[in-house]
Amino acid sequence: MISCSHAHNLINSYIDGLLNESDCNAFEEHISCCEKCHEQYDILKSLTGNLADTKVPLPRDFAKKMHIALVKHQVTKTEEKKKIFTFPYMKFATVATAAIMITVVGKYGVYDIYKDITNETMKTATESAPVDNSSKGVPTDSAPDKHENENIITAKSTEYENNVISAPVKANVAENKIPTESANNVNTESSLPGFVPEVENDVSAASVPSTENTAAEIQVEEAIDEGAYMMTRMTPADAQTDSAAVVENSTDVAEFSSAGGGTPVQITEEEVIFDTPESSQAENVTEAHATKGAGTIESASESGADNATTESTTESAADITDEAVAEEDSATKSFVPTDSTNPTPTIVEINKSGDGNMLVFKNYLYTFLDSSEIAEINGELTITIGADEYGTVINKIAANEYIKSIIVGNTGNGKAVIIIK
Amino acid sequence: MTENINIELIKKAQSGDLRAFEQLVQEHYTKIYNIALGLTGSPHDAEDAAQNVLIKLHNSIGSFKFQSKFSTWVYRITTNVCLDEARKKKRSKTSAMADMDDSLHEMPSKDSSPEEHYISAEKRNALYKGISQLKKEHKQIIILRDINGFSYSEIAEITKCSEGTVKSRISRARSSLKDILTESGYFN
Repeated sequence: MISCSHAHNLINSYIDGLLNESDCNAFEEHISCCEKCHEQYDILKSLTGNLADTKVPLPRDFAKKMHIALVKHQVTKTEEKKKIFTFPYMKFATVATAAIMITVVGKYGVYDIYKDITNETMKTATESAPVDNSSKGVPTDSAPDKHENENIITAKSTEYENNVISAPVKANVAENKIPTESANNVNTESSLPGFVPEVENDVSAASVPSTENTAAEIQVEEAIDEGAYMMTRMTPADAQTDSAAVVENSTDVAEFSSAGGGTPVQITEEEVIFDTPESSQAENVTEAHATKGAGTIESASESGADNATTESTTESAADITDEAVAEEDSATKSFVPTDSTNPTPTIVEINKSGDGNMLVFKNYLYTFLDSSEIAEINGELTITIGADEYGTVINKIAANEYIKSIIVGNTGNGKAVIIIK
Repeated sequence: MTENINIELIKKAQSGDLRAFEQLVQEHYTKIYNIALGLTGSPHDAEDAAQNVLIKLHNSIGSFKFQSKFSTWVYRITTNVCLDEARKKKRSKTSAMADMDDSLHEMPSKDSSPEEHYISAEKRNALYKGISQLKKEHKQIIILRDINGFSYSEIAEITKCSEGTVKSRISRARSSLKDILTESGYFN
């Protein structure tokens, strides 16, 4: 058997899967007999696992911020180039010309002529210099150019907004496709509020703004032909006037379906089973956890608000649905984790300024969730989804300015439940 | 992105096409951000650092000679810029850790209580705090290998050292981090 020293030398390569079969067997043999080395291995294995879990998705508007920074930088760079190739060049040219003239002028009047030429040079240079040269003693007027730069940056940012967020809507509601990205694979597109590109292997289609609207529109059309769909963020005013968004009562399936909203799932109160011990336990949300969690969402949504506070509810958590669980034995239908000592779901306040406009958000949800995954009871939307969708849906919810708070929990059957209050 | 499309985009970017440049670097945003986050210690500083990385990449793309993989070049610049940024920022590590919490992006585990969910966020913060106390080479290697999953050969290319050096640095870095975390009570 190998020594502890030898095992210690192999431990990291073993964790990283880099040992050959012989060394692998020797290491495993050693740690099966040596408690100390086994403990060291367990610690390092746990540490590397935890480190891998610290990887985070991108912030919501990361791509937009990077774009703005690059545009600003490009504008600044362009101005710097102008400065290099205009003012010093012209000054050099005119001074050189002046020098030549001076040499052909006679002794008398040289000084006066030179003075006139240099004054003219200074005047010309002043008029053409676009940037601040106060260190060189040349009077400048940089204010108009600064505003021009800002206007360029604003125009390009607006262009970004217009191309990315307000693209033509051709939502394929009938298919109700769910984004297939994994929970931890949030790309830059999905981090943009209200924007759901679905172009496989094409990260550029609608997330990188084009300076030519025609080219952008062509790309969008091509992407949609490939199965992508885009959407705009609805304003509350739109929700009131757009027939697809006005769904007064989700029990009226026919009306909702004709408005393009798919088939909502209506669960009556009798079908909802909630078997946590006491309804008052819904109030027992751990303050520390709610604050921590809400702090996360706050930073993600950049609401600028303070860390969210705990929000307890006196409502019975019976107002929830779990259609997937409804098919199983009623004894297993439960919103809470299977461990009965930890019954409390998590309440998170997302956007303090959210107005809770459920009509707007509900329409948005139906464009990317399957109708079997969402239900509405007493004005609250309940989403039941699998683990692979959870991260994506959470990001979309957190990014939506109309949603103020949610409850998240686990059915204990491989499904996550999100109640949008 | 296939290699041929990549080459075409690189050439366009080198000729000044900003859109081509953004298309090239967008697929690396997550790793750039996570490297920046690991080296600076805060989401706010990480975004600043990431912006500086992109500007540096944009300024330097003309000098990319196709002698290494584009991604290697990107991450090399990323780590160098972020290490510089981390050195410049004299920010308190305690306050930097306060806004690192994003535990709710993870699905609540089957048997986890809110208390357990809270602990995993706390553990994450403790890890980043421990990383911040490592020396530069160790910090870099932990972030590249254990957080972002780069292979030994990729790390060797990014850091311009041999795989043997990478291997020994990983061993020493993990050992140092383990000692730091043991002292802070992380494993209790």
